Amino acid sequence: MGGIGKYIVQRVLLTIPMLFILLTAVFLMLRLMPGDPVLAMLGGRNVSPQLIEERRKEWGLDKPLHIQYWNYLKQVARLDFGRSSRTGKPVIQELFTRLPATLELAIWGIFFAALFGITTGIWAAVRADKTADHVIRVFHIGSFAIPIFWLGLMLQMIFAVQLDWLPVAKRVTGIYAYTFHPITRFYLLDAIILRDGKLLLDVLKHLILPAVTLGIALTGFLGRMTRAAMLEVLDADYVTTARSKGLKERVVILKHALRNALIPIVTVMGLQFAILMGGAVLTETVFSWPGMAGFLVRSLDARDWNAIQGTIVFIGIFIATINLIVDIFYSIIDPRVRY
Amino acid sequence: MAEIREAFRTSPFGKAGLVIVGIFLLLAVVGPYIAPYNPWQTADEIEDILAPPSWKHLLGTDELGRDILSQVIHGTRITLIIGLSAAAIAVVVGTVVGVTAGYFGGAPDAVLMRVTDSFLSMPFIVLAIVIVSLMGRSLGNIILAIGLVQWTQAARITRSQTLSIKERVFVLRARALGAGPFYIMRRHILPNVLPLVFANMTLVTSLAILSEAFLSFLGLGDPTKFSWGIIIRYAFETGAVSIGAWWYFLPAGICIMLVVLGFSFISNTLDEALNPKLRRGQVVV
Repeated sequence: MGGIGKYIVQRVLLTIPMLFILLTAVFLMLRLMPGDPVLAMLGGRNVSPQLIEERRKEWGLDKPLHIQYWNYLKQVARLDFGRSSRTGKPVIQELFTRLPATLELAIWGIFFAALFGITTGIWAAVRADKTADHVIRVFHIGSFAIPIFWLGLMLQMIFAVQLDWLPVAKRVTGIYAYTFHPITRFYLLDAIILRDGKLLLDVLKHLILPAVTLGIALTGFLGRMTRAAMLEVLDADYVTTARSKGLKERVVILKHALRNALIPIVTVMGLQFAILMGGAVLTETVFSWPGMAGFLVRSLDARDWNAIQGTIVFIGIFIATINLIVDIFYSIIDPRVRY
Repeated sequence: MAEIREAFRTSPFGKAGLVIVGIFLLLAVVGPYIAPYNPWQTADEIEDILAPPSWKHLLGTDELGRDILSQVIHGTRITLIIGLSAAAIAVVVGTVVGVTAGYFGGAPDAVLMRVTDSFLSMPFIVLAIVIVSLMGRSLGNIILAIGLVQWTQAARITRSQTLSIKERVFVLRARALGAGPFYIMRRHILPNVLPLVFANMTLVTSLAILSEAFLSFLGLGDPTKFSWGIIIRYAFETGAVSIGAWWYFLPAGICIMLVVLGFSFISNTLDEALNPKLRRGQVVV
C-alpha cells in the first residue's frame, strides 16, 4: 500500500508544475497579444481617456506585470475568474452552467467510441491479416482522417434532414424551454429524476447524432489500440492455457484476453480527454449544443478577456485533473507502472 | 534510404499515399490555371444560385452562384500551403526543444518536458482558436497558431532519439576530442534524428490540414481566401444541410479526408522503414 501512496504523491507533485506552466503560458499569451483589452471591451473608438484609465485601475491592469501575475494566480487559486464583461455574471458561474452539457456529450461520445472501437478492434485482432481485419483497419484510419465537423454535417443531413428520424440540433425540443427546469443540467439524468418519459426520449433523440459524431472521431484511435493490445495478449501463455483447457473461443477472447487488454485501453481513453474536449468544441458548433464551445467562441468575438482567460484555465485544470485521476486509477489496477 | 524505398515498394498503403499526395500537390501548382471559373465570380441568373451539379457547373454552385469546383481547386493550394508550413514550424520548434532537452538532460530536460506535458493537456484546437482570434484571421497567423500547438510530438520523438544517440561511441569520442555541445548537436545528433523528424512532419502535415479545417469551420479562417475548411464553413452558414445542398460541402470534405489519408499513409510507411520494431508487419497502418 505504501507504494501506491508514494506514487500518488509523486504524481500530484508532477501535476503542480505542469499547471503552473499552463497558467503562466495563458497569462503571458493574453498579455502579450496585440490589442488592448480595455479598449476592446469599451468598444474601441470614441471612449474618453478618463474612462479607460478608470477601468484599467478597476481591473488592476495599471499595475506592473509581476503584480498582475500574482493577483491572477491568487484569483485562479480561488477559482475566481472575475466577471464576464459580456454577460455580467461571474465567469465561473457561466462555466459551471455549461460544463454539464459538454460533459454529457463527452461521456456519450466516449461510450460510442468504446462501442465502435473496442468491438471492431477485437474483431480485427481475432481475424488478424484476413479480409475483415483489412476492412476494419481502413475504417479505423478513415475515422482519424475524417474532419469531425464535416461528419457531423453529413449525419445531420442524412438522418435529421432527409430521413427526418432525429432532431437537427440543440439538447431538447423548443417547447421544453418553458416547462423543463434542469436540476443537474445533465439532461438525461434530469429526465430520470423528474420521471418524465417523454422528456427522456426527447433528450435521447437529441443526444444520438452529436454523440455518435464525437464517438466516430475517436473510434479509429481506440480501435487501433484495442487491436494492438488484443494481439499482444492473444499470444500470451495464459490464453494458450485457457484454450488448451478446452474453453470456448468466445470465453477465451472475452474473458481471458479482453480483460487484460482493457487495462491499457482504458488508460489511453482517459488520456484522450484533451482530444475529446477539442472534438466536443466542433461537435457543439455543428449541433448548436449549448456547451463550453459556444461560450468560448462568443467570448472571443466580444473580446471578453475575463471569460477567455477563465475558460482556458478552467479547461486546462479540468483535463489535468482527469489525467491525474486516470493515472492513479491505472497504477492501482496495474502495479507495474508504479516502478 | 534503401529501407525507405523498399517500404514504399512493398506497401500498397505507402504507394497509395504517394499517389494521392502527388495528385493534390500537382493540383495545388496548376490548379488556378485549370479551374473552369474564377471562384469569386458570382452568377447573374437566378437558376445559377445554389444550382446542383450540371455540365455547366460540375460540382454545382453556392448561394452567390459561384462555382464550387473552382473553389475546391483553388482551395487545394491554400490548404496545402497552410498544412506544410505549419508542419514545418511545428517540427522545427519540436526538434529544437527535443534535442536540447535530450542532450542536456537534468534541469533543462525537466523544464522543457513539463512544458510539453502542459501543452498536451490542453486541447490544441482551443489554444489555436484563442491565438488566431486574438492575433487576427490571416493566413500567416493561422499557420503560426497551428505550428505553435502541434510541436509536442516532434519534441518527444527527437528527445528520446537524442537520449539514445548521445550515448553512442562516436558522440563520446567527439566529446573526448573537445567538441562543444552545439557542435555535437549540429554535426552528430541532428543528422541522426532528421529522418524521424521528416517522418513525423508528414504526420503533422495531416494534423495541420485538419486543424486548418477546424479553425476555418469555427469561423476563424482567412476570409480573403478559399480553403477547403472555409468552403465548408460557408456551406454551414448558408444552411446547405437543411436545404439538402450536398454538393456544397461534400467535395471539400472528401478532399480533406483524402489528403489527410495520403499523408498518414506516407507517414506510416516511413515509420515502418525507420523503426525496426514496427517492421515485422504488426502495425502497418
